[in-house]
Amino acid sequence: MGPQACNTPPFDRRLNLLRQRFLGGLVPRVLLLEQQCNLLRKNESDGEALQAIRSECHKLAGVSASFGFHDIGAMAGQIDIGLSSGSLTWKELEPQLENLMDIMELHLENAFDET
Amino acid sequence: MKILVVDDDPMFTELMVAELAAIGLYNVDVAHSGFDALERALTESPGYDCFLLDIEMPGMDGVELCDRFKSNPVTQAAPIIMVSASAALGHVDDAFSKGATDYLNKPLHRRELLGRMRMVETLARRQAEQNSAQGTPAIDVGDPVNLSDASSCIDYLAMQNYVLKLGSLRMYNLIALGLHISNLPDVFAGREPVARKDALVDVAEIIVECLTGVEIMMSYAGHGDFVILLPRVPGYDPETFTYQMNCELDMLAEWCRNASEIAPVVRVGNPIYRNLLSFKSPDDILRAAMDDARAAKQCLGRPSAAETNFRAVAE
Repeated sequence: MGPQACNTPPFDRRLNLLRQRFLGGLVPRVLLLEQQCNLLRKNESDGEALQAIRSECHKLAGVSASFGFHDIGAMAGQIDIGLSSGSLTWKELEPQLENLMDIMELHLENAFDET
Repeated sequence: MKILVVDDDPMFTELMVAELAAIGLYNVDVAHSGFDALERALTESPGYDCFLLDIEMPGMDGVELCDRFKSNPVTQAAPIIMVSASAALGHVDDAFSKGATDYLNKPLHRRELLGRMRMVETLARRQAEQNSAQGTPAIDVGDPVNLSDASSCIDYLAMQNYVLKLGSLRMYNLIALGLHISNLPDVFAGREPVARKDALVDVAEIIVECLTGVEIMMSYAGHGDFVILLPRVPGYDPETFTYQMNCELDMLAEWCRNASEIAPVVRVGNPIYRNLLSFKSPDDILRAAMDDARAAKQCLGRPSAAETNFRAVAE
């Protein structure tokens, strides 16, 4: 059978489950970002920490908006592009990262409130 | 249709599998690195009909993987859709120059995915029909043959997708140049059906040789029409190109005469530019370049003896 548009409940249920798993996965992602931030606070030019942040933001930019979290995707995408082009200084990066982690935590709190 | 999804983010591969299932595509495997994907694709039987590749992956990235797939006879026929959150245009250029068929941006939109997969299914069906035919398929005059064996050549569908992806701003920096083989029916008529592609590859290789040093992307659209994209700056010198093409085509005509084959006669169009504020779709420039070549008065390459004989017999 070829590709056809389909919005039947089983598929939406499956996507909903994935969305819940994505939300659950935000906790370790925030912790990882926070950990790399701490390293950069000690050494602004820590290449491994910058690369870890870029890699995480790149993944977040790709997957968040697909689950409906457009604000996370946009902020993570902005950081990804900034770090890829090498144009972001730590002074500029830090508030953006904190903003991203705040948005992620807000979604976690909302999800907790809903349950 | 059997699909391999490659992405280092397991959450994304799960999402892609779910989205593909939602549009009726269930035969989907996943790999989380370029190396895994390569191993899987080369050992899987029957092979995959389509690959969906993330661009940025640790180790072997999606562009390199695309290159490996396109240079391996086992995997080269399957369409490749690049998937990435990165809108960096350099990635788009790299992916298409390595043979990608199309490009899909993250985040995923089901409608967009559906459109791409319908296109891929049409290509896969055409490929399956060719595979089930006995031996090498005969090429007709109108077929948009994929000449990716020749350097800088990509599938015409991929080139259309590429210029659409570039949009107006990037297209402003490019020139489209059309070339037309005006005697293609005669060229094909004088050759065995399986050797027709060779005639097209000969012309493609001559074009590439005459544009040495210029970064080009070329496609064959069928009916004798070639279209080339090349940078607007530093510029293209029509006189030098035409002169070199004429010399090379003369040599080819000599070779064809000895082989009792009909040599191609080629018309070269004027370079076509696209204005920044043009209302036309970016891919219209490809058609305009090919139409211009068809209307060109000067023919390059001289008819071989075989062609003269063929015409005399025909007349």
